[in-house]
Amino acid sequence: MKVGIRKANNQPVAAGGLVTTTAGPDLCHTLPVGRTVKIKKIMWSNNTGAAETLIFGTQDNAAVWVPLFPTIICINTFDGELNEIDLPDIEFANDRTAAAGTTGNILVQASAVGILIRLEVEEYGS
Amino acid sequence: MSEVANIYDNGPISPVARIKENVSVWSEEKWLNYNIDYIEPIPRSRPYTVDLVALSGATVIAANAAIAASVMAVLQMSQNEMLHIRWEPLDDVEGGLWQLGGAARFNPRGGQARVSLFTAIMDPYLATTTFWILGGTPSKDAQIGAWNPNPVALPMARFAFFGFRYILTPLASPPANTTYLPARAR
Repeated sequence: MKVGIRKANNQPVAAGGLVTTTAGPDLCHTLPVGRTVKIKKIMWSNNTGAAETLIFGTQDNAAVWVPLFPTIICINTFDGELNEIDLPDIEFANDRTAAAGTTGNILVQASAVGILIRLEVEEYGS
Repeated sequence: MSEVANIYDNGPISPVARIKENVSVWSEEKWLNYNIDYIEPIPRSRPYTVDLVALSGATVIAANAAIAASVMAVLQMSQNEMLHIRWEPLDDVEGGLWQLGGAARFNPRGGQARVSLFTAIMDPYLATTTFWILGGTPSKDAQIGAWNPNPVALPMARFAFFGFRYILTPLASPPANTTYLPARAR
């Protein structure tokens, strides 16, 4: 089993890593050069007034959205958590060899503005 | 824990020799020979934790940037003393070691290796971070520099040091039995 270093998501810097969705792909974690990363915990809070959805993914090198996780339903006025045991072992990597390779950064596509999200991630490399 | 360790023992750190045994250190282009008078441990603790961001006078270590190497004052030794140290970062930064007034350590032809948070994953006792400081000459002091591999700035770049301090008596002639140390303190 690969072992890495655990940390909280590192974007947006100005908010100390607390992501507030804008209903566009929002950057949650920027991948350090030479490393890969897996999401180990997702925590969200939805107080937008309606049930909403989240999809986690990355971008290709042309900044086109690439979904990697299935849709998560966020019930209105509730918080929610998904832990390591619940999450697929998806490894985000900077694929520089493919024609439209991925950046490896973690982004979230939300259906609404104002959902709060934090992640715990594990980075691999050196 | 063994009472006396091999010099790069991959277990918990131990003294490389006992009190009243000898050590020989390659320094000043020759083997300098000593008898050990005293050994004491240096536990990993706050006084032996150095934040290179604070030491440099900065507020952060910028994204993907470096802090130039500077002398670790806490690791400076007096004449006829020696420090035997292992170390690791406490933050997600990489550390590089220089001695001899700027000569890179852990530095084969392929480049200078660094100590990172990943080091302890495969080397939990940090044996591969071992180095020595022979006291008495400023050029032999350890200098540590830091790199931030993250694409965001970090507020701290802390490194923790632990090991053993030896007090030594110089020997006029090479002893019959000794522990040789590769401390390249010219």
